[in-house]
Amino acid sequence: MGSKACGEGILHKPLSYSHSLMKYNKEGRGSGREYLSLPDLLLILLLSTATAATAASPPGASSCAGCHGGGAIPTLAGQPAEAVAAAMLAYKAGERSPTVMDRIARGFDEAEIRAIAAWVTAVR
Amino acid sequence: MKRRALLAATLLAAPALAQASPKLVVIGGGFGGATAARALHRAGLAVTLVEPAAEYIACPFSNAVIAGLRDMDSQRFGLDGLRREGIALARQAATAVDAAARRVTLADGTALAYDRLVMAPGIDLRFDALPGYDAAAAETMPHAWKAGAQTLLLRRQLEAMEDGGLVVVAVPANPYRCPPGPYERASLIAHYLKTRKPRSKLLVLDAKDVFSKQKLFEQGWAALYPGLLEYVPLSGGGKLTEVDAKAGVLVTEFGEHRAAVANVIPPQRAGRIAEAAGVTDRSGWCPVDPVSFESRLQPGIHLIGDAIIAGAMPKSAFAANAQARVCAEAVLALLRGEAPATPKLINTCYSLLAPDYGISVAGVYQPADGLLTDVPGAGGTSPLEAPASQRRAEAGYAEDWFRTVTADAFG
Repeated sequence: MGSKACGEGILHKPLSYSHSLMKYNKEGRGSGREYLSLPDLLLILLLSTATAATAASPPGASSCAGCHGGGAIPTLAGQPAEAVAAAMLAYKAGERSPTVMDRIARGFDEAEIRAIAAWVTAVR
Repeated sequence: MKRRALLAATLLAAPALAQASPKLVVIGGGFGGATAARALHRAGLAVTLVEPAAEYIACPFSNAVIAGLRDMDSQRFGLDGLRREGIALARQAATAVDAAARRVTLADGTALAYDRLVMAPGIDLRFDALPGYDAAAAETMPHAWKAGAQTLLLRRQLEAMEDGGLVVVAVPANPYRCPPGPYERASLIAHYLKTRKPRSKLLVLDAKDVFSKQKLFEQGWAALYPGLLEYVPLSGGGKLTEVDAKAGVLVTEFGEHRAAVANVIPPQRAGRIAEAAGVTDRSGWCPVDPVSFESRLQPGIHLIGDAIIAGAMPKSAFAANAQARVCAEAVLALLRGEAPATPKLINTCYSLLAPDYGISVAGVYQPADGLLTDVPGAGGTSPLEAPASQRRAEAGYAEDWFRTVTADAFG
């Protein structure tokens, strides 16, 4: 019940920018992530979405960096997005041993979790 | 650097921007302000951070300093890292904000113009709320609710106390910085007494009946500190009505307590500059829009952290850090002439009951009815039934969180 109530009606069309970011990140990771090409920049500008890598994250995603950075709480950048999404979905379903993550994952629906996983695993 | 310069150039060329080079000013170099300054700077904007102190002294884990479990140097975070990244530091207090003219005035009279201002003013202690408890009384009965000299004062008092003394921790009504903080402090002081001065007693006087992670704290106290820690809620006469700092006396509705060491945590309000800027309401705290974190009272000013009225979201370092990033994105959107996206925010907060005994509360929040509200079905505390290994693991997570969030905020 809670899981249904949490996302619907709240999600505020994050898809256009998260897709463009995902694309940039996939390309960036393979071939020298430090520099965006000028066409990429123009594309971003034309889309009038993200002006910088730190802008426009899907709901909830920007909070993750408060904890995830090392030690027993793994760094997420560079991890496979699929694995992070699968872990969050398992936490949400109560199928992984509880930490704070089961309580947090229940605050997001599957689409939100997939968008978060794509964003937090991107190397910036 | 090259990428950042390109991004900056592109951003500045964007036609949606009102002028060539938007000026961002951030007031406050704590968890919220430092995180916001870095996020805005990383997006290619010119940012000035206004903060008189050369270093920030972190409150999370300062209870462990009081209890002799941690060194004060572990709490210090310089702002030089931010300066090296290219954030301009104004090492002065902000004394006035003119929201209409979009200008911050500094202590030496310098004016800083801004397009958008982010304020992370933290808290001020109210020395007008509890009879007898003013700034002078705090030198005898420390609050230790802003980490620094007060933290060390309370620690020294505990160290100097003879075994068999009475320690009192007095807790205010809501809202105040770090809701579970007083109970973590009570726990760690009890740990100190148990291990160093076992004939002593700790009395927790509370101005409320219900508190954060209550069942977990009470369970832990019964297991770890029986006969040593006594909790007195509001309904049991726990609310302070007056103190006499010179005599070491704390007065409640039901009687008096003479303490060898008294830690009085007084009521609080938003940091002083917030009132000067006209962004506080009659409560002394700052109402904000929960999507953009823009003040409901003054346009162009955004507020984050302990100073704001955030609905269900608590006043914590984690919350300030999370709000800072959401706020930075909202500021960027507004500078582009766009509406900020509706966010969700997360809070996680660990408390220590002993060095190897941690518990947590987590929440997920979304804007609703003008406030940040709990996402239904999410959040909650550590389970009541848990093996010692889980309490130990959460104590470790707390350390890892602190390392990560301080690196994220201060570099």
